[in-house]
Amino acid sequence: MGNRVYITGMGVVSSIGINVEENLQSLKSSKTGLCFTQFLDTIHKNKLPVCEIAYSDDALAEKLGLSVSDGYTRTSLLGLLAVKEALASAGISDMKSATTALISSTTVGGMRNTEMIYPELLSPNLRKEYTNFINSHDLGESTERIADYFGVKDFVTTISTACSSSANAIILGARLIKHGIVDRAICGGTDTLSKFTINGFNSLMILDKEHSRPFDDSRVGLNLGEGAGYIILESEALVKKENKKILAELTGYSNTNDAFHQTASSPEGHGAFLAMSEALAMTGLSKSDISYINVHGTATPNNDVSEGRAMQRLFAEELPKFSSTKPFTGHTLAACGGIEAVYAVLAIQHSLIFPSLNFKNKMNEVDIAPQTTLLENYEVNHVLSNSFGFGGNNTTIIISKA
Amino acid sequence: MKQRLYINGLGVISPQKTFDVEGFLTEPIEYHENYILALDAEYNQYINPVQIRRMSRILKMTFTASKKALQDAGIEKPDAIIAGSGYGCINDTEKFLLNMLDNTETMLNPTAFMQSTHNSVAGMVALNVKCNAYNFTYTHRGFSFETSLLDAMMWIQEGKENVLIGGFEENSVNNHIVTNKIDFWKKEKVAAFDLLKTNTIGTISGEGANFIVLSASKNEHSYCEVKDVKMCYKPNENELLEALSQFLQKNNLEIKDIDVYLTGLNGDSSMDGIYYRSMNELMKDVPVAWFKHLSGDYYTSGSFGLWVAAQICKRQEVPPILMLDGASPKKPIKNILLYNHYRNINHSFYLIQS
Repeated sequence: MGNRVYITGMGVVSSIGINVEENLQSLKSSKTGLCFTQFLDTIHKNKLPVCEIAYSDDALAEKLGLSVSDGYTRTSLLGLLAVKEALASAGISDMKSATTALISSTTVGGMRNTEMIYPELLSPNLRKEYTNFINSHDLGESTERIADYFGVKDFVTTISTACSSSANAIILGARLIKHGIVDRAICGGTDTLSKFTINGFNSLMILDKEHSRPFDDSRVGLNLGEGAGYIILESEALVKKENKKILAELTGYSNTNDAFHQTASSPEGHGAFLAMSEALAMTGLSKSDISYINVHGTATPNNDVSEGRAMQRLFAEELPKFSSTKPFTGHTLAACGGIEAVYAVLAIQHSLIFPSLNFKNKMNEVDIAPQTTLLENYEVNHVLSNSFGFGGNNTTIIISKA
Repeated sequence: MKQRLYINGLGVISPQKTFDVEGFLTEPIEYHENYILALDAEYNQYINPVQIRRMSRILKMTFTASKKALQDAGIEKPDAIIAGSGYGCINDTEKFLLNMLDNTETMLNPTAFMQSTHNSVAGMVALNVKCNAYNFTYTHRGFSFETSLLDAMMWIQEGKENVLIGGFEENSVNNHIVTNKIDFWKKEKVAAFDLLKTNTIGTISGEGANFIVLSASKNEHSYCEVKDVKMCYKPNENELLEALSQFLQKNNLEIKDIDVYLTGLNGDSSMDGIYYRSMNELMKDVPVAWFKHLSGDYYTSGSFGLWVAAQICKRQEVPPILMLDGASPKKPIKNILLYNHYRNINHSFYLIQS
């Protein structure tokens, strides 16, 4: 134990860009990915806006030299694209050069594809072109597709803890490295828009028909999105041995459970407070050292009050700049922790604080306001990133300038 | 591993009489179907009436099994909760999916959606015991439970005292139809105890909720010590045997030190081939036991296998129904090697010690 863990690569695919550079430009120019779906056949398609990636499955597959009919779900394709960029940016081409883990995450796996052909899957007359999708529903499928594409063999697993999933993938990666089980880990998550999740969140009445407004008093819910975000973690020893370029350091993390309700957060954000405090304690930093908080900030009435109260309780008068990037990307479920980890590194690299779009008035319950415009030339040394989910799962990671 | 770790509590709901019974597989049940269900416990004795009304069967099963494991270990609140499941709450997922398709996305009740998330089990267990600690859910096919076990082992090294882990899976009629299209299950009905005589493709689909408390401290009630676990992803035959050799070496053991070889053979002629054959060759002088004729096969059946191994260690006996080959093991039974794989893809070794 006690080894440091560095971030040496990253990759992201979201509705605001299919690589890191495109995402950065969109974040800097306040360009959101919000639209009405062009690929999903749902009765909500002209009513509920979503953050959809403007490429068809075939177009995504083509970028990878693959054919969808071989059984590649959209979830697999998004994950593959993001991991490809992450490995390239870390300069990793040979999986055998060090022991490597792939820790991926997803909430609904191949549901997007399953729901399109489900009646046929159950009938005796399944069309031949769907044969390769019979076993593509479960959550391990996209992970194994990614592992096989890049040749990862040493350690392969999948995490699903709702919307905190990929932040938890990052925690597991760091712990495997610290225990000496692997030298490096590809960590993140992938999720696609599906009728299942749109209708699920809609039945819970937490989708906004307008553009979401995190931490604003008028917020009514979230916009769903899709995407994938992965970072490469490497051990201190490997980084030294290979003289690797370091993007940032993972200095703190914590996973707690709110233990309050199956889907809702406790009003005082007990689990969120614990996650943030424990992650901060692990870094040995003081509260005032945190430069920026990338909040979970889904814009549901429940999350933002709970998270806001926890932040206020922990930071009091020393609350750093904070913003939610969900209005850019939508809520990408399992992928958001990975995507936002990439954004945290970008904030550090480019001395930026990204704006929280659509904020006007503070919530009644908490006297705090996010950063609403792009802040440039702002020294960002330590970013605290929150990811919270159903089942009371609360995760905080802290990424620092190396 | 510097810090040793012990199994101090078990709660297992399976197709066999494993819950609330004294004996260890003394009255084995033979099934004649390729789709077998766990024996339901008296859930209302464990769950209050308000909660139980909205819970799906898998939530009742896992709630009850986890509660039993904690009671068995004599602890109220663990220091971490880790669950593993390949399909998660598949019946809730299918229920919401079918309602959505049948009602063309209108009039949907969110309960099934809320319960469909794979982490709803670990979340519910945390809620039940008001546990704010680490809470994780692994959902990787035949590694779902094994990663949970490895994670718990790391936590014990990192200083936690008690970690609750669980492997769970539920059968679903629809998922059975779908996966039958790719020959997961036998087409013909078989007598479970004769599973290895069938020589046909597919196996029998089982289910279970198997919870285990791992602890840093040994007590009079401890079942066994868990020495190590190792996962191998898509190894070829040589890589697998090499992995086993390293695994034993790391734990300062040789094959002759293994007292029982517990195998995950499942009677699928397309899956039982090469890997088990070479393992059997290697283990030819070791008494062989098996368990999938009792539990059926599923992504997290390794958790049932671990329960079997823990019971063998504690009771120092292998019930006849488990024995496959070779003489009865010599006593004392010290080292048990469990080897399992899911569809030739996710292979795992466990080393359990009395």
